[in-house]
Amino acid sequence: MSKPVTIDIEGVQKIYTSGREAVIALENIDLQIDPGEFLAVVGPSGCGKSTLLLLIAGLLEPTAGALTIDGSVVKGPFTKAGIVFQRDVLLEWRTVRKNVLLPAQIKDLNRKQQEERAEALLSQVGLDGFEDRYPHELSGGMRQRVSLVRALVQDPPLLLLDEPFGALDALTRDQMCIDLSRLVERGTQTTLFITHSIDEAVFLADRIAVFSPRPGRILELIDVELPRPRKLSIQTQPVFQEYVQRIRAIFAEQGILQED
Amino acid sequence: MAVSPQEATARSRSRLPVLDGDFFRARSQEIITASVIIGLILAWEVLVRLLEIPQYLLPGPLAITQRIISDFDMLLPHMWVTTYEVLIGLGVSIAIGIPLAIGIVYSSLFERVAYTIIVASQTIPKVALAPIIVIWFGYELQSKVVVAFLISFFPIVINTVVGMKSLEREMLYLARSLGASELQIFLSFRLPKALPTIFGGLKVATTLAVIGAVVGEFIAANKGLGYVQLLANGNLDTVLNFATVALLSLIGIVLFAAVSILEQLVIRWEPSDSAT
Repeated sequence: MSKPVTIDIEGVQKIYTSGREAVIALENIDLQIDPGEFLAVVGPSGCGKSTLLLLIAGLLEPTAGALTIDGSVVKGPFTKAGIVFQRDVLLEWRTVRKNVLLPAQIKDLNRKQQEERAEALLSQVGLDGFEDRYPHELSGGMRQRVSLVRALVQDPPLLLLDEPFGALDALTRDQMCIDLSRLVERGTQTTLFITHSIDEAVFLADRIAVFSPRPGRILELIDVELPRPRKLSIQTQPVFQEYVQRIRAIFAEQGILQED
Repeated sequence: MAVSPQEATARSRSRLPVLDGDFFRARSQEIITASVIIGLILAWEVLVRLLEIPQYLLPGPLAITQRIISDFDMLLPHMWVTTYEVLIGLGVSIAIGIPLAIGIVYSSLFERVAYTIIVASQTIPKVALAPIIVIWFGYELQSKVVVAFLISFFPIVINTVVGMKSLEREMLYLARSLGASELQIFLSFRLPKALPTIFGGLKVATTLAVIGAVVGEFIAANKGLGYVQLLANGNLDTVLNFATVALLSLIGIVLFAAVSILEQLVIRWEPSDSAT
């Protein structure tokens, strides 16, 4: 079992420069993510929330500020994280099984143990019997499930999800939400979940960071105190709706949601 | 849960083309293609006979076939020579083109310098360069190989570059976050991702290499099908002329088919296109 990580972000700023133009993607982000916590980031598109994820992953460098994982400064890719993007980026030339075992191969991990874990996770998301299929033989939802299993197979202490359900239809998305909440409920990893769907965020998260439009700032941090395990039916309950309304109100205040 | 039975059957069906309606549709296309080709050849033969076209203008397919058979012992060595030139030219194209493309993908300075020169060089009609190449490389094998190389290496370079650059940014992120080395990224991500595109370039290059070899033979040679064709022209032997054209296209078809078969053996993860 991995030990979930603590993430500390202090005064982080990210500026993209291309040629003479400079775009401020993130401004003065202060955030602490507790070990085992599921933090969702909601915000309008282009608000820099994906940038935050890439910074934590060590795939981008902050322009200013400090970013530490378990007390050590992030320098270069944080190789213990499992990442899922909106695009499933499966390797078309590998079967489902070999896609899932990609981390094991690159990191030279214990093959047998990884294979057992892969099989268990695949069957948990309803993909048993598909191990020897190629990605082009799967539907979009199935592909994204493979991508999720690939991220989880190394039992990562940090799970980074960048709008993972953004390209899926509504029904598949609901199913994926249920699958994901089951997979992460054991609390063996710290999870950062980027989304533009308020419902997804409230359904999945322990805490929600609401982002402003660019340059991205944290407008509010909201604790979601809904009991777990959560079922889809919770979405129709007043407590759930209260959270949704509260976040909508923040966006309305910002002029992101306008009714007339 | 998650995966519905319909979804599962739909997917598994596409895996077994033999049981699929598409299979027969694909076959019927092949039958139509073959019939049209046979029909055209028959029409050619019938017209030549009906209109009593003299052989020195346009021989019929039957006469051409007969000539290939009767002169086979003479033609075969020349055919081997041309094939040999094509294969070596193609081999040199691959041996130089792919490393060049890798250099272009990995170094932006190299890309700016080499890519510009390569693209600019494509505006020079290479057929017009052939006489100069003969002066430089002599009358033997080398000059034909060089012409075949010059004509065929461009699509290999371009397609390899395009294929390797098609790696998605997220895929690169994934590789980096797994701690993959540059070599691992190349071998496990970039190269397999580029293979279908590289094979596309290889197919184009194959047909171009045949042209290159024959052009080289036209300029100066004492063997090869291009040389035989020049001789036939000098004697106004139109039947022999057509016979060499038929054999040249046979070389092209066989090499193209060989590349396609190799492609299907290497790339098993994608439903192959029907361009073969």
